[in-house]
Amino acid sequence: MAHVAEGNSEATTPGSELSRRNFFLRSIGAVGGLIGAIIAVPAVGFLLSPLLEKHKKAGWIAVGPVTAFPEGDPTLASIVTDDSAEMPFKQGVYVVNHGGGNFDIFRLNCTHLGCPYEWNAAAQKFFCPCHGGVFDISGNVMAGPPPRPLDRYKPLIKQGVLYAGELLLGGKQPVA
Amino acid sequence: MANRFAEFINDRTGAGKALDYFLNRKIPPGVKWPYTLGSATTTAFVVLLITGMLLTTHYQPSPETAYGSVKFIYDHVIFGSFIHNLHFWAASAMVVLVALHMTRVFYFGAYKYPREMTWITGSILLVVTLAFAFSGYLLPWDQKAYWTTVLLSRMAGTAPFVGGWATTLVQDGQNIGAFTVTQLFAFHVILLPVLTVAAIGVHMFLVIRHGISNPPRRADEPYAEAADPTSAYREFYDAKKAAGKPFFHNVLDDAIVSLGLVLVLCALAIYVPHPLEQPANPIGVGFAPRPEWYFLWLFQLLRLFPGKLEPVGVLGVPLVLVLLLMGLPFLDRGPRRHPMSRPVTVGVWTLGGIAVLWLTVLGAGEKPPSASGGALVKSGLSAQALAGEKVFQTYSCTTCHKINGVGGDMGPDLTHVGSRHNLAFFTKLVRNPQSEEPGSPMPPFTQIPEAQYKNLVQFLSELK
Ligand code: FES
Repeated sequence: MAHVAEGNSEATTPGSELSRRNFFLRSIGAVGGLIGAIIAVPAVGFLLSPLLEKHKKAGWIAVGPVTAFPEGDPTLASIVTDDSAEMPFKQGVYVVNHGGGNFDIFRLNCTHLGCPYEWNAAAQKFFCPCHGGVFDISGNVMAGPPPRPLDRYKPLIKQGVLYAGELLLGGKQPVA
Repeated sequence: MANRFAEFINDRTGAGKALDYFLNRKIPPGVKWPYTLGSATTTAFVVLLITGMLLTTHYQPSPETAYGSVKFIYDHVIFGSFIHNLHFWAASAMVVLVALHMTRVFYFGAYKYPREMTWITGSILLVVTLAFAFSGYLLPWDQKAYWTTVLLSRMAGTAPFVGGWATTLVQDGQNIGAFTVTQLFAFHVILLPVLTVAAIGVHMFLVIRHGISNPPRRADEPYAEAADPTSAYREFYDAKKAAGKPFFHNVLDDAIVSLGLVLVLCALAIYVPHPLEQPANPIGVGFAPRPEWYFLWLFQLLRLFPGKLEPVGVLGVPLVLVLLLMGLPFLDRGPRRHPMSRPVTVGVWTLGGIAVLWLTVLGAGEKPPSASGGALVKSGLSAQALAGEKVFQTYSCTTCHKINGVGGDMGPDLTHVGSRHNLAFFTKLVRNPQSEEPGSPMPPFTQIPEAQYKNLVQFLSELK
């Protein structure tokens, strides 16, 4: 208020001109900042939504009839992940039938840097082509840089169909 | 008529005056061909902008349609393959030109007072150029694009603390998916171009504001001895500039180099095409992705930092490099500009440059282990050893072991292993590596049937 009173009486003294200028600059800054904030808050939220979004409790995704996965060597398959149901996307998996109703559904990404590893039936091992990661049929690391056993989906058999559930990193902790 | 139109535009916009100023500003003597790299970079960017805009008119960013739409451009649109290839080559050229331009500026000491901010905006443009390269890579959605993006985003994921976020942001949740394509697309065609145009604008404004730097000469360096070297430099530079010729004398050089660049790019686009690979296949097992050449050094760096140190190599080193680059004008503050007058800075830069080049060449020369086999030619092998070579292939030994330059490098190179060890050693080792080499990371290969096993170890013992 003091600025206004001064300005009215002595508009041309350099001192008051300066403080008036400061007042305007600050006000413009505040208004501009407000506009920025109004846009920025939703914009940042929008961009970060994949981070903030609660992962939908993974439903059970059908992998295929149990008969499609014979005992012994792993079988390649793909599942439609439900991370965003409106935009489905295929994820490769290796299904291992250990016999006795025991299944492993390994995510087809090496736990090192994500390369698509491959089953070698002769050697009875998974080999990663990128940096020589080697896993055994249970997904344990046998050699190379991978830091943890293969990631896998929780298996479930219902009426002769194999379903993939929650993703377990390294076979243990579920993905948050 | 045309004259009156020009007059009108001039009068109402002041364009003529601006152009006059731009063309007639004085340039210090000695400014020659090395100075054309900046404008050549801009030309490459303009080519990218135009071809990119054209590609966008047909491109459909989604996992279902991306590959098909690029394929359609390539196969059916008139000049489609040409535009696609031109975009690819211009991108490579831009990376090279930015690097060369910065190198020229570095050796000429032109990042010093008063051009520090010009250098920093230039460094920002380098980072943006690489971000362009990364974000554009996935868009065609072929095998290479898909798996390389998986790999690079996992590399980002190794960062301490923020790594998980970084991967989650690039990939939708835990997968590369629809969201990844649309997100990288938005970065690639909106955010980054706007940033680039703005940064180029500021960069050019600063170039004009401070004037083109003069080529450094040791004889000119007495200004560095003055009590106040900055104002002494000002005086010295202003005198140089006043003695120079107007800028339009140089524009022809720039134009000729840019024309040469465009011609080379067109020739490359025609004679060295860059067609699509197979469509992205999330179950494409055994595919070993390799990034485009300008990221190979980073890829190769990974090998030098195994295990827990990996994030240091993949992220720490590049981060430090970028910070060093941006901070260069403040790290090297001496007034002397001639390369011989600042041996330490020049030495470090040169060594760093050689290291990056060397890693790139190393990465480029590497042949990934091929599943197809038959590539391990070694002459003078017995029949049994030849059978053993097949076993070697069958059991994926090439994933980790190199013979004659083919194969992975997790395990030792076996090209001459037969001259280091004998048959008895191999016979024990392959089934049970721990017995011969305690602590060896090699897994035991117990499943190999006896007959094949004999052939395999015979093969190894003949690798002399
Ligand atoms: S990605 Fe599999 S070993 Fe590196």
